[in-house]
Amino acid sequence: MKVAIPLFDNWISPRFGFSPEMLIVTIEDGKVISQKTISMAGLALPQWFDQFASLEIDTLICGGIDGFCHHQLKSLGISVIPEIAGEASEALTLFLNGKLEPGLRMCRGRGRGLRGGKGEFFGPPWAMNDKKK
Amino acid sequence: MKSDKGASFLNIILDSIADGVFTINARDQITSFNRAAEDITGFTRNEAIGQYCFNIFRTNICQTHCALKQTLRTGKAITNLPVNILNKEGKEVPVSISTAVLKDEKGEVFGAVETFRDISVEEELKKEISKQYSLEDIISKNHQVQEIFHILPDIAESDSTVLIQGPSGSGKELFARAIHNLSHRKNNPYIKVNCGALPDTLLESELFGYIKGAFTDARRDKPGRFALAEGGTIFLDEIGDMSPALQIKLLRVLQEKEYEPLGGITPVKADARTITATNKILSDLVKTGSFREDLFYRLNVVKIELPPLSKRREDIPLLIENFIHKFNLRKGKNIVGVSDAVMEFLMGYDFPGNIRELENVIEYAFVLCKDRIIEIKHLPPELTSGLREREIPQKPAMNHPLKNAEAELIQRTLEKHHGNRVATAKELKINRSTLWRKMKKYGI
Repeated sequence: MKVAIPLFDNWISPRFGFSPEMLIVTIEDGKVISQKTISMAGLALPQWFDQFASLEIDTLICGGIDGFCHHQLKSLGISVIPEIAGEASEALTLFLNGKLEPGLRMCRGRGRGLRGGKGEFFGPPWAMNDKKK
Repeated sequence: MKSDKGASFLNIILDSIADGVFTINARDQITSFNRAAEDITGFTRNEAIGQYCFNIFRTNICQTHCALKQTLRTGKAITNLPVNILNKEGKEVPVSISTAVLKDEKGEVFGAVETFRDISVEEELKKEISKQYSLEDIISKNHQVQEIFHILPDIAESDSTVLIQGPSGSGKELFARAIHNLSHRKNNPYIKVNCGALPDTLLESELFGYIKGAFTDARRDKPGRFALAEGGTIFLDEIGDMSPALQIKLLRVLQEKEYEPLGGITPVKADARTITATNKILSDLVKTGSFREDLFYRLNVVKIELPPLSKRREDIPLLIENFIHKFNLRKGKNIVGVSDAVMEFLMGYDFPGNIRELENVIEYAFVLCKDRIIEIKHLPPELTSGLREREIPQKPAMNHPLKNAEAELIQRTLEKHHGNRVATAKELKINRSTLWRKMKKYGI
């Protein structure tokens, strides 16, 4: 399976569609087989969707995302894990361990470890459906 | 002690102002977040403090031209920069931001402050003035349609296949034409084919053409619609009605950009942007096996879903005004509007035939109306005779009188403002996100 994570430096991009780069990770049997970073700079949203279709992405791990984009990706058959904040590598590890849930905010700067995942959901109401699944 | 009092005094002042204010430290982490910031972003102070500002504020410029970073780097304040944020509900909110550095007693910079103002109302007014509720021939102030307006130029610019889904009469063809008109193909042909109106064999020859001798009456070569749309756009309406055999041929055109005319053996190159539309739910047809999954994913690269008119009632007054203007020009009349009773009736009507039905109603009224105002008596009798019998959809009953009253008040205020949530929230003295939450809660 292929997982995409829009990047803002080493962080997960806080807002879908505005990041200059995207990490593409190929996973087989729960292990990372390969990963590469592709440029998304200057792409308009329809070109983002084209990229997702042509790269055959199965799952998107992202930060904030509006309802329109979320819906478009869902209709392309892509599973979206929205409202994740933190380092991309950390999110990927949690994903591989089956512990990444929508709304998880990994805030190291606060010195309190992970938050948001177990308590109140941080994202928009429509993304709650992703969490319930 | 004195300093605690000072801080608390400062917090009271910050919470009493209408502009959002937050401060960050040198590591971009939020250190304070006032009440207006909570209202505008939807995040609570507790959720925001300690987080990196870009994860809470989420503007369109955070990742490329961060205003706070620029201020921290140059020391120069930025004032009234218009940007948009993604609020907690996942909606874009236009805001105007200003930034400044924070210095301690020694003049050392220890962070920065950003103030921001929700300019949604100003933006709505600007749109009203500059008629931005329209794009090409489409008119709407509905939030969902406005989102489509926003993205439509980008969709048009790309050459992606577009699938437009919506009920009959919801304006699918207008959107297809708008995409063509906004694209670089606008000076080339726009060809429409109704896939549900033609039998299978005829549709195949219509789409791909035939060569002389392909069948008994084929006395000369005939180009198909794909050939006619060369360099332009082909709009395939009612794609859900296409037979499985033709679906395979269409898939080949989309994948390989070539096809064979009926009776032909040499493939012909196709350079037409494909836009498809249906009033059916294609994914359901895929599940039942009547629509190919691979074709569905080819067509579904960009999907536009149009709401029925009953879900965008706020557009009814705008559409009425537009149809009156159009029919005045076409029929040489000078009708200025509809009576309050007509407006009330039409705002409550369910419009199973959507915008096309509303257009027909106004056209009918134009025939009967000899005055300057359209009255109830000018409307089609089958519409008004059913006035009493018409079933009004019932909201789920609530056995809590207070909640019931609140839901009713919200519903009435929304109707008064023709569905405008900003004006409704203002009148009810609640913020828009609270209104949205309550509407969701009560199923309004």
